[in-house]
Amino acid sequence: MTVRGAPAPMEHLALFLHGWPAHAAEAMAPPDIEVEPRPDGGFTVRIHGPARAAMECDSALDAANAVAGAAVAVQVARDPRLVCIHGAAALLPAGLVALVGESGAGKSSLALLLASAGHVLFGDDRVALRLPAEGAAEPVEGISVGLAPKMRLPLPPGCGDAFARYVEARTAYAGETAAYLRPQPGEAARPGARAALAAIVVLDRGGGEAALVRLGAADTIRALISHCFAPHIPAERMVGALDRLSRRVPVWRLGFAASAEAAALLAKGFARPGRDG
Amino acid sequence: MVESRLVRNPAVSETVVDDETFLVEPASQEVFYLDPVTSALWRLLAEPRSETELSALFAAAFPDAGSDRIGRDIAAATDELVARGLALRLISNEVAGI
Repeated sequence: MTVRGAPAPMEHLALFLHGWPAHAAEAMAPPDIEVEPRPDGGFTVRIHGPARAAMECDSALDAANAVAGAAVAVQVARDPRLVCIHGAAALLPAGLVALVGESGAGKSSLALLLASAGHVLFGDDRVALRLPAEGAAEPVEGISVGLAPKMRLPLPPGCGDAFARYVEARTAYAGETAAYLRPQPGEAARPGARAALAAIVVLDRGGGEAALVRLGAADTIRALISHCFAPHIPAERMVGALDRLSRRVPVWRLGFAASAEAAALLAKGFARPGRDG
Repeated sequence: MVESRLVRNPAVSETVVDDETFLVEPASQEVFYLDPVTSALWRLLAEPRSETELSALFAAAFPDAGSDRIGRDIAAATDELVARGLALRLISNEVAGI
C-alpha cells in the first residue's frame, strides 16, 4: 500500500495505526492514498481505488487519523470477502467477541474494560471480518487491523478507579474529548492477527440491568447493515452475506446502563471455550 | 382521466429473510427493509396495479380499518416506494417520465 503526500501527517501516523510496517519509498504511481496540503494549513486525504473517498482535515493530526482509517479501507477493499465493521472486539475464552453499535453506544469502553481485565484487545473502531463463501462450511474469522484504541473523555460513570488508571497509563495522546491509547506489549492483537468469531454483540445502552438477547437473521441484518463498510461488495450481496453470517455466528443484543456491569456479563457469558454465550 | 398504475422497479433486488423483505435500490445501493404491510404491498406490485385496486385488496384484508384510512395509507406508502426508486408509476403501459 502506498501513501503519497505531505510528510507532516505521516509523523503522527503511529499514534493512530499500531504495528503496521512502514518505510519511505520512491515515488510510484498511482498511490492508494494521497495527502494534499491545503492553503489554509489543512489537508485533503484521498483514497483511490474501490474504497474511493475524500476527507477534509483541519490539522496534521486529523489527517494522520484519516490516513489510518484510509489504510484500513484500502486493505479491506483488496479482499472480496472482507468486510470492515465499525466496532471493537476482544478475545475471550469462547473466541472473538465483536461489539457493534451506534456512536456512543460503548463499544470502546466495553472492549477496553475487557482488556483491563486481562483479555486481549482485538480491535477498536474497526475490525475486519472474513465472510463465509456461499455454501462453504469454514468458520467466520475476525482480523485485527491495528487501529489505536480510542476512549471518549470523560470516562463513562461507574467504570471505577482501576479502569481510569488503566486508561491513563496507556494514553499516548489526549484531546479534549478523546484519548488515543497505546496498549502495552501483549495486551492487543497485532494487525493481521486472526481469530474465530464466537459472537457479535449489538450494544444498546438503553438502560436497565445488563442482559443478552439472541437476534434472528432479519434482526441481525437490520442491526449490522449500517455498521458494515465494504465499498467493494454490492449491497444486495451484503444482505445475503449478513444472512449467512447470522446463521454461522450467534448475534446478540446487549441492553445495559452501566458499562462495567455489561463488561462483566460479557466476560461471564463468553468465559468458556466453545460457548456462544 | 386514466389512473396511473404502479409496479415494482425491476432493477431493485429483493432478499427475503425470515419472512422479512430487504430491498436494494441499485443506483444508491441503499438497503430498505419493509414492515409486514409494506411487504404485502410490494408483493402485490409484482404486476401493475392502480391505487384503487390496491386499496380494494387491502380493504378486503382489513375490513375493520375503514376505506378512507386505507386509501390514505396506500397513497402514502406508494408515494414512498416511488420516491425511493423502489416502484415505478405507469401511465397506460409506459413508465411515467420515460
